[in-house]
Amino acid sequence: MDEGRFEAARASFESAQLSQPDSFWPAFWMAMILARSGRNGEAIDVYRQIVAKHPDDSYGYVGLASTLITAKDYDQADATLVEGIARCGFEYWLGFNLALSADSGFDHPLASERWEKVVAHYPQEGYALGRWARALINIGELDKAERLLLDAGQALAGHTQVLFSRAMLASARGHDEESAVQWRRLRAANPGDMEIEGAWGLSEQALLFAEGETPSPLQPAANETLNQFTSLGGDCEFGLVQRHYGLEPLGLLRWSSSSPANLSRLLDDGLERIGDPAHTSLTADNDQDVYYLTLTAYDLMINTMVKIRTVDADKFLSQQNRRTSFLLRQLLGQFDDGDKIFVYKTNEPLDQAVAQRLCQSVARYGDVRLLYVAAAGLGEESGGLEVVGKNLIIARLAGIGPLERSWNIPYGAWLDLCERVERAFSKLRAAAHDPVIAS
Amino acid sequence: MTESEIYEGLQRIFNDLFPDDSIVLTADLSARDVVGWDSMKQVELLMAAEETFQVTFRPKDVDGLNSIGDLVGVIGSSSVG
Repeated sequence: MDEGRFEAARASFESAQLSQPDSFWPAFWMAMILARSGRNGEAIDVYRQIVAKHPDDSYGYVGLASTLITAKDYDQADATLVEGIARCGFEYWLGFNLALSADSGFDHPLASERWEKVVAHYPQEGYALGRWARALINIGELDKAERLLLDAGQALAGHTQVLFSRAMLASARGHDEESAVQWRRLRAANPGDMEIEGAWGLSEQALLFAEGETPSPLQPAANETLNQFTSLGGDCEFGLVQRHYGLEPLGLLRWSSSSPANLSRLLDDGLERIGDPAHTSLTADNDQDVYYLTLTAYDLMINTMVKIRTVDADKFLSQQNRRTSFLLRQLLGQFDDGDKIFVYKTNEPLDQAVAQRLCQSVARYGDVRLLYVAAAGLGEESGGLEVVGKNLIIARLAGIGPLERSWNIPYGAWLDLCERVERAFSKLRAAAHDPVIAS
Repeated sequence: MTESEIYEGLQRIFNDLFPDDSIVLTADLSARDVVGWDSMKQVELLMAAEETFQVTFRPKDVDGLNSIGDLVGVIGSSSVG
């Protein structure tokens, strides 16, 4: 709302308040306009006045709580709604917003409990039923969610939130085809709905990240090739490629996100801070609803794949530090053995100096081979290799992800690249040991 | 350490790590057979095995693990000598 229109609206409501000082609605509409203009603090003040003056009107509590939720003050929102329910009874919008408060704070177990109560009081409200099913899916109670959706009946079956939950359920169960159909229908019926687009993206990502049955037929040769590679991160893409072909290597940096410069610094500093509680923290990613283990000095983040609020954060951090210490020992052993080819992947166009710097950083740990994969730019050949030295091959791939929330991984291109890189490095090593081969 | 002792030790570890008490360890039992045995659990399993059996797993040991039988074999050979 532009400033001119806002001031005109404010003047109009203030005038109405003067002429009808005991009326609920002028103040309420003023508070709504303030909230919609992003003036949350002012809106909250006006809503509080409304609640104080009209304690038996539930809309005041709803408006106040809704604005507090927007301001992420979930505790105050909850307190307001509890007060409203005590005063006015379990009206739909009071119960609805109490459940929404838990959802917005990513407290899925509490959200499930609260949505259940709303549905118990208002069984014909498709939105509440759909949100309850979503909360159940978020806490892993897939069977219960499925029963709930089946029992929804014809009247609610077509409700957007019910369809939303069906799509989420199909994704959570790993039913790729059904999930794709459900999401397509939902997105087509609600074009541009950011909540649906976001959830679809996360579900696609979750399908990719879920360990389970190999989506592609297991090819022993592919398995053997990819097992010779270990990810140094950049992002999770190479880890997902290995997963796609049935491999689950235990790599310290497999699910890590870092810039090559920061990774070089970490390697140059001897990897000593990994597993050290003084240099690690847990970061809650509310978009993906997972915890990241963050190595604070290097801005390196490792996706733990564990949902927020499903574990005790302090205990989990301690457990993660022990885990990373174990995995660090494995990584150092791999550096020492010299058998693995390490892969670093970036979405950025190639910077040779950066790639060579990273290669120098890993070289301090032994005869370590590095495959540095960058995004192919316009006019650059996708899959092209460049042998820079006996321990560094640079490659470019088109279509490497992620694009916003969706991963579009060119699995076949990765496998082909790895096969060629493995052959190239083998030849280089053989040549280093036998000059006759080199010639 | 005998194979039987290793199985006993691993069974105790499994009972701690997994809520399903009915899991019985056999040589060909693998991650595909046990709900919740993902890569995170694999790391916990290996860490617990190192502590229980006072062994240290090398990368090549970890890479080749496809079943309980493989793990028993690695523990057995690591604890010799």
